Amino acid sequence: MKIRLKAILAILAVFLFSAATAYAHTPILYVEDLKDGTIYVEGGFSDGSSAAGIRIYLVEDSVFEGNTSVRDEYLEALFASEPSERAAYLEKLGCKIDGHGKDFSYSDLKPELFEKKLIIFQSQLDEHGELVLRKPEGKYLVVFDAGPGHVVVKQGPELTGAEKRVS
Amino acid sequence: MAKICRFFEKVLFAVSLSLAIVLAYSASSMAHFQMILPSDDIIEEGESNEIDLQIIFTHPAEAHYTMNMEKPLKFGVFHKKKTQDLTDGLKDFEFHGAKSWKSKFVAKGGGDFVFYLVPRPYYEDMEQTYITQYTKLVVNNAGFPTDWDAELGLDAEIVPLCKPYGLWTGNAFQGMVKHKGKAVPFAEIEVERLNAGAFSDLVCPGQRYPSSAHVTQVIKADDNGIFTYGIPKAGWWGFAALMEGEKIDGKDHEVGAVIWVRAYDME
Repeated sequence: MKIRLKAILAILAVFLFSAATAYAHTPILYVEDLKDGTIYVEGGFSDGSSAAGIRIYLVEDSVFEGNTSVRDEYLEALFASEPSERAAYLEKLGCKIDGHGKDFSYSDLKPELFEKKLIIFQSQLDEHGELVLRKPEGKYLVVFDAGPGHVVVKQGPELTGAEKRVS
Repeated sequence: MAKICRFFEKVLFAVSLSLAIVLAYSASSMAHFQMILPSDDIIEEGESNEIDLQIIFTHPAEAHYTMNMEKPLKFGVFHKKKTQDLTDGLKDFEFHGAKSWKSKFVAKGGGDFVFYLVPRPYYEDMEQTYITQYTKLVVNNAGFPTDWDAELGLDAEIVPLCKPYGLWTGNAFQGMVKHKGKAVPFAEIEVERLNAGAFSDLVCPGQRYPSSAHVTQVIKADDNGIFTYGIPKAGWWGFAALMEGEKIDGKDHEVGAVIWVRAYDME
């Protein structure tokens, strides 16, 4: 009995220690306005470890009240000429709507929320921990989501009138 | 009586002249430090990512006598394992009567920007010695630690063993002295704090030293070329490891590996 208890305690100690070391770093998010209608996003950790594959969200900066137009217009503009990419994106989201269908409408997508705010777009950092994203309309947030306690939120640089005209 | 006065005048003149010569010599033999100074060492969110860099060869602790610098052989930056040559963008300017150099740089993306300098050898007439100090400085953008511990392969180089930015007053700074890629056992390192107040004639007072022994701290590396120094005060601190280089035109050549770090008080 005593041996079993010791074994359990040892396993627990190893688990707690490994959890502590895994979380002993600070997540970092860098957002730069490329001033061409896009933003450069870079993620990492204070210990230099890689942020490849970490989820990044663009989030509308207001409490969601049922209007998904910012998200729908963003996705429409993003995938207008790339229907196959749209289908791949929807599949990645786990969405059961047929992205290839003629009657497809972005407003049919179930709204996903981050802290009661609408997620406009979600992606993942590449192997270098980088990403370039198109800016959405209006005020928005850029979210680096590396799991509980490892979330960083930054205000996104707004799309200007001049950038809208160019894009 | 007039003869006695004239005699004393002559003695006084001779003593003053000797003192002046001794002082001038001792001043010139005090620590030369090659500096790369940035307008910002840690770029935070909302701050401009354009930084000004000044390249000055001076006596930072005593804040006097700055040496003329010919255009450096190489000035560049290492970021995310890539090197960018910035030599062509250098512009000369006068700093306390001496020709110095400056540059502007836009730090794009997060991470460490390791600036490095290969100056032309400076001939120190008083010591009849050439001096070449290979200098490094790390600027960080947004907190990503990417390249601060990189070894750039400079002829003489200090490779930091702790992050050379974001240091608190009281932290121990540690580095390894290398010459031609090999660690230098028991290397001698001079340490000075930039006496910025005295240099720039700002309202804040310059540092006063209780004795001449306090101006330049001298430490030695261990048998692996590793040195440690506890930083006692906030500000810019220069570490210069001095070694014997190959002679130039038959003259002695002192090669230096320099790194600059900045410490902050914890409020």
